[in-house]
Amino acid sequence: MANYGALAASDLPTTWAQLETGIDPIMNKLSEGLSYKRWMDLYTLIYNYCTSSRMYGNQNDEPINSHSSTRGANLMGADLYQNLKKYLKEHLDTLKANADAQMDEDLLLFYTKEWKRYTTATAYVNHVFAYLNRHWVKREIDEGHKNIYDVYTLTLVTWRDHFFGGGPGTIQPKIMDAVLKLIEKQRNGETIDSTIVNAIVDSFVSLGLDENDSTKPTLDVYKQYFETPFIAKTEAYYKMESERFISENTIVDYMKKAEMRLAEEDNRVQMYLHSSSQKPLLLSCETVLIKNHTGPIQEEFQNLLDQDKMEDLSRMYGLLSRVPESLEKLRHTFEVHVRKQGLSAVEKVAESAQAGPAEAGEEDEEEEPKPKAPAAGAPRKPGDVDSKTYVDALLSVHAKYSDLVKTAFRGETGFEGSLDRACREFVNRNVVCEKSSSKSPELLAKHCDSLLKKGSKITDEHEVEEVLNSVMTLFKYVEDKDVFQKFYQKQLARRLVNAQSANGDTEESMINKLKDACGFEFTSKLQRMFQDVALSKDLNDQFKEQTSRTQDKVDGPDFQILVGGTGQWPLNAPSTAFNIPDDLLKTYERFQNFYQHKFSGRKLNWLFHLGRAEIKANYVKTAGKTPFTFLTSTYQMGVLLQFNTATSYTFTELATNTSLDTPTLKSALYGLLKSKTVTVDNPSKVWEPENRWELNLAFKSKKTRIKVDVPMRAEQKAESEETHKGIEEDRSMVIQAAIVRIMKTRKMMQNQVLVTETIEQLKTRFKPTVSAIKKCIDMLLEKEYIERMEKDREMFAYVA
Amino acid sequence: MATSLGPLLRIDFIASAPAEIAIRILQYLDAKSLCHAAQTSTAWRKLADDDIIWHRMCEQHIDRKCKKCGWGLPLLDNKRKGAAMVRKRSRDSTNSDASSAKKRRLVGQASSSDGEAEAAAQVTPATVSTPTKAAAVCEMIPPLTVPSALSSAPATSTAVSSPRRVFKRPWKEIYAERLVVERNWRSGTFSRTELKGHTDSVMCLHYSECQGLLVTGSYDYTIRVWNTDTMECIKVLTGHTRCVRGVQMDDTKIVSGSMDRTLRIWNLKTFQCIRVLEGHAAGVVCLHFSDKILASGSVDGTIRVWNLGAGCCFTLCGHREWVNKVQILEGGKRLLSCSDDSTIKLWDLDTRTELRAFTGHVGQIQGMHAFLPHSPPRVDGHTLPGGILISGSLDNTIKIWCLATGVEVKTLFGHVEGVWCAAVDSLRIVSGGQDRKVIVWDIERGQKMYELTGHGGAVNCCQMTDTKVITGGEDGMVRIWDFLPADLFGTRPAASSTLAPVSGPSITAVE
Amino acid sequence: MPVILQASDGQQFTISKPVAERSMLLKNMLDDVGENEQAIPLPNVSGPILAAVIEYCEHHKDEAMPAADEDDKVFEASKKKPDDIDQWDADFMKQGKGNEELFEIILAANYLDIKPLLDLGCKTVANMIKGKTPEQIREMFNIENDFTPDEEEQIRRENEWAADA
Repeated sequence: MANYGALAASDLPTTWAQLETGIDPIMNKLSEGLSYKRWMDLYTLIYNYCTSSRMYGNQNDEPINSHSSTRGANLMGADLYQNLKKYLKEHLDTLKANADAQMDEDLLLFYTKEWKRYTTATAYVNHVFAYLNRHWVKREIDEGHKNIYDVYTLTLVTWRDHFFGGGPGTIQPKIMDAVLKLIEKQRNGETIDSTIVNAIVDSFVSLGLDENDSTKPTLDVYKQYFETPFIAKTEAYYKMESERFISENTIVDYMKKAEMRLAEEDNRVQMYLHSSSQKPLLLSCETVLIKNHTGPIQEEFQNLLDQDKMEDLSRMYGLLSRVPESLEKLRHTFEVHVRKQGLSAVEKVAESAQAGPAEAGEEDEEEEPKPKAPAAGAPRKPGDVDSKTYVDALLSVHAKYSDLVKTAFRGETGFEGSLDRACREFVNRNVVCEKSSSKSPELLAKHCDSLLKKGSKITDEHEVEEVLNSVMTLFKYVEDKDVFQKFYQKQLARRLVNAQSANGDTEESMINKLKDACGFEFTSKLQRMFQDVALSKDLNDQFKEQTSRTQDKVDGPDFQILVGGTGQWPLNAPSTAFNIPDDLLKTYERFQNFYQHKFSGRKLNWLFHLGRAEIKANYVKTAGKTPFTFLTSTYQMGVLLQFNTATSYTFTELATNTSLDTPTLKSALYGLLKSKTVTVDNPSKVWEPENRWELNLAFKSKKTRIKVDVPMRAEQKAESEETHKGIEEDRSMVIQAAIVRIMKTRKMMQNQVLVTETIEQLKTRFKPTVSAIKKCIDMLLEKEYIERMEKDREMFAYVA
Repeated sequence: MATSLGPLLRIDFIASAPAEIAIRILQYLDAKSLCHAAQTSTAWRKLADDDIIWHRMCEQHIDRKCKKCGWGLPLLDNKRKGAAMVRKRSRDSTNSDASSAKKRRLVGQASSSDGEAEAAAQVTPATVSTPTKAAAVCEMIPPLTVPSALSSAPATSTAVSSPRRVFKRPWKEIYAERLVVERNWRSGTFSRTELKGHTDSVMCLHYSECQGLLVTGSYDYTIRVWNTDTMECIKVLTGHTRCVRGVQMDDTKIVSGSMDRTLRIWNLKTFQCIRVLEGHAAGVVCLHFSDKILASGSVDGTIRVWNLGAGCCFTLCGHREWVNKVQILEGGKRLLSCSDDSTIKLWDLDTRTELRAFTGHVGQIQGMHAFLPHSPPRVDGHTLPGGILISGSLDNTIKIWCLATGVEVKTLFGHVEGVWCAAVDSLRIVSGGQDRKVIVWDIERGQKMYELTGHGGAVNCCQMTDTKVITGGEDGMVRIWDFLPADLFGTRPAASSTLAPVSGPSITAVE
Repeated sequence: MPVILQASDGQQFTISKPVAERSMLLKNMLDDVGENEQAIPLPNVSGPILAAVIEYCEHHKDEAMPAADEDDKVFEASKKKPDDIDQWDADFMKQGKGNEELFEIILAANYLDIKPLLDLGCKTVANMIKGKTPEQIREMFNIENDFTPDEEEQIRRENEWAADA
């Protein structure tokens, strides 16, 4: 029954002898081909041997209760497996003998050729032994026996342990020696056949076999025998090269060299190494080429900055960013450099401001010759710099280095941080700000004002938008944001009151930018100012309509009013009394009634000092016979209207009639005098109380509309100082409020912690000084909002 | 087809085919057919007892329901791990050694050509060093999250990673042992032991199969520790000043909770009370710990979660009445609790918030147990992927819930008075009630299998292992119902008859 | 290109390559040796059996081949429904095939490495064993009881646990 066909099953020696005769040609002369018959004969030999257990097996003789190695069935095949193993060893011994004679590239060629032959042949052998694999080997593995592999794996394991490496006389060291020599040749610029290396690497990788599960490949062999010596060699090579090169060349050249070498090694991985080597190889190259030379490279950084060598800076970043810890020093150097650049830019601005007046006046009003203007050549204070020049100087430094960070330093966050810190420094603490750090925000606000005001040099909406955006980049760095807010608010108020705003949309967009930067609270007042303006328009319309409907319609003057909430408008009440001229009194009273009727409970404070008037002069005629129109302040109007009654008054008389105080009256008369609307009797003693003021009936001008409302220079100065003083007071309130807020939630707090916490809370608005906070704490102690603890005087408690 | 071919076919396939083919044929047989095949001739026996074939049988059945035949077999894992530990504790039970020796003689201990194995076999005959696939009993079986009602997870994991010197038994024997145990479970065949000692109601118990130890707490204010190999009380712990309502142990300690508002921690070696946890404003009704996290439920509806490592504690409020059972899940991430307010709550211990309430019972919930097997249990055709939760209530019912969704899957009717306790594993539910009954339920069909009677009063507490049910009653008695036969393979001539209950038949079959 | 198979008795069969490649043996060999016009000698399979095997392979030629390595999974899958044999397959095994032919088909499937056919054959035999007493099995397969009475009793006890409870 078990006897089939020609190839009857035989005992082991016979079977193996036949098998060996069949395998030999496969192993050694596969190129000569194989017939179906030979192949089938070999398979059938093995099949017959393995299935012949009933003939040669001895299990029937075993006693019932004793079992051999496993409980259960015994499969045939162990003998064949062992014989095959022995055969392979002998086969490889011959190969080893042949290999001994070979060296270097010849050896590599020999190895790769033999490897290819061996693996191809053993793939056939594996197929021929399929029956053994399927049953005997599988069962051995199922039973957990170690060191039993399927036939193909067995051939690889034998190659690895018997020919390639492991034992004495194996060829792996010689192979690696040759491979490393070959690679060194390539590094030295020679052309090599990289396919050889590639084949060697493939062979090393194929030999990685997991001992526990031969179906799972590992990279152990490749890592141990190829990668490790290769990387060691690489390190040695580049250590030598880099040390020699750096001593003979400039750093800039060295960086080019290193960059090139790194690219080469990266390419080498793609070309013939296993992809897993990329990381370790590049890591060791980076160590030898960059890390070991970090110092000299870093030292070169300042030079490159000084010379604005973008390309080299970019290269340096590219190299050093591979050794991340080396960047810290660059960041620091960069920060110092940018700060210096910023400071010196500001110094230049300050110097040129001292050297001569700014080329453009900052206020329209200043186009008029200034009374008591500083004599030419007299040193101007640094604080007098032109806002545009100042802002432009800051911006140009920022733009330059921001661009550098983006391109050369790839926008790396660490450098972004250095740039920000440097900018914050030179924006808040420079020569212009020497006296007070709030100078920067003031100038910035002023710059905004000049951009947003009618008559700005930049008119294109997009252009304005861009400039405002760059203002915002600087604003980000400003520490005293509350100062900016104050000035901005003041100037906005002025623009709105005087209807000098150039474009409502631009104003709105700027406020949105501020809102984005500082939050809703920061701009809420500004926004309400705009609302008031809009509401006032309606109010005027309604008032006009009511006036036209009422019976006592009189030929009153045209009347426009702006009603603003006290909370949001940074305007002071008039410092002087004022007699409303009779011509206006009726309108004044009618509006008063109209308003009180509409909003009972609200009180109107009239800010006459901010009012303006247009007065037609009927007593003199222009050439075109149209009467002149004087553009005056409300006070000047009050003065001028006096001349309807008489043409000449002493100063005292004018003062009495208008009830204006002396400075206000002087200021009003100054404009009238300048424009020659009025004249004085005695020009040498203008401000004498008894000096007479006369209406200039012979007034002449080329214009028909004459601006009479010219403020004295001293007024402006006072306004700026006043604003600063206001800020100090406001801050005190803000600090106190912050302290109370903190104490309310914490109940008890240690002095130092409280100070820190207060600074933390306020930092988005301004940077309060410790002494200011201490002062505020004292005030609150006095007001008994908080108290010192009995036991610990450094502790404060909240008094509910 | 077999019948049509039968008369024609007289070739001895198994003996004449190559062994690899014979094994292939036999792999398609069920256990019973394999055993019959083994009895036909020497040649067939050798093949039908093949270890690889039986390994596959075990893989299909143990701790899971075989898809082919619908049978699942218990794991019997804790017992095995315990054997080593018991030896280590030098409290040798001569029993277990003797029985394993017997087994060895019977089936023939595997001898290995490996020299080291021979040597090892002389020192401890029950072990061999070759860590073959076939021998790696513990490795084949994935660790369980909650192996039994209260045993803690770490014990399982250490056992799994234990050294590779594992007891190599033939897989056929392993299969047979589990099959016999499962059959006993199904037929209600067991031996019963009564532990007498407490002078008042037994309120709580915890059995550690690994250590062969049982702790019980009682209305008599004491805790008793029993050796379950000898069935003797080895220690009485006193200290609580009122009824003991909760106990649990691990390798080193016992934790107990009492109506005297305290929890006590005892050293398991010296039996000294090493810590008293105070904090509950009212009596402690239940407790459960997992590693360093200890949860305790109280009369006032609060649950305290103690971190024994960090020495801190927080309180979970939500229940309106007594908290009767707590169970920590997922190594301390979640907590289950049931209460007299008729709800079960699932808590997140990281955020300390209630995640879900299981509502449906109309009476106080006294017993509760959640079980998270590695293969999802099935009840009445529903698969419960996230694990199973059962609860017993004074409304006389037991409910089965889907732990992952909170959906009530089934209500079990069978107790005629309130249910005081319940436990579940991958195959069964066991419950005890005021009606003095212990009921064993089939989990897959959701039906009562039979009752275990014997308690003279209400059954207050119960625990189930792969082989045992342990109950404590109002009558002051602890009863152990053991489904593991004393003698498995008929080593004694009358073996088969000894499978009957040792202490007389006390089974009421209910089908 | 068609493949020519030659049975042990010299009978030749010309079949298409996909049919031949149901046999992993033939597939591997064709891969190794390459295609040519020679007949492939199959010294271990007789003409009638080879004809039956080819009939089976023709019928299944369009099905996906089971992966060689996934023996266990295939085993699991087939185990899921052990008695579920495809109707065509069942008829194939039944049609006038005697015991000897079935046995030889199994051996041929094993030799040629046609896994599904091997499984089918083994399953068919397993179904014959299932549910039989030891005595019935002996009867069916013509097995000689070579145990001593003592041995028989011991083995009976040893396997007693499997008896119905």
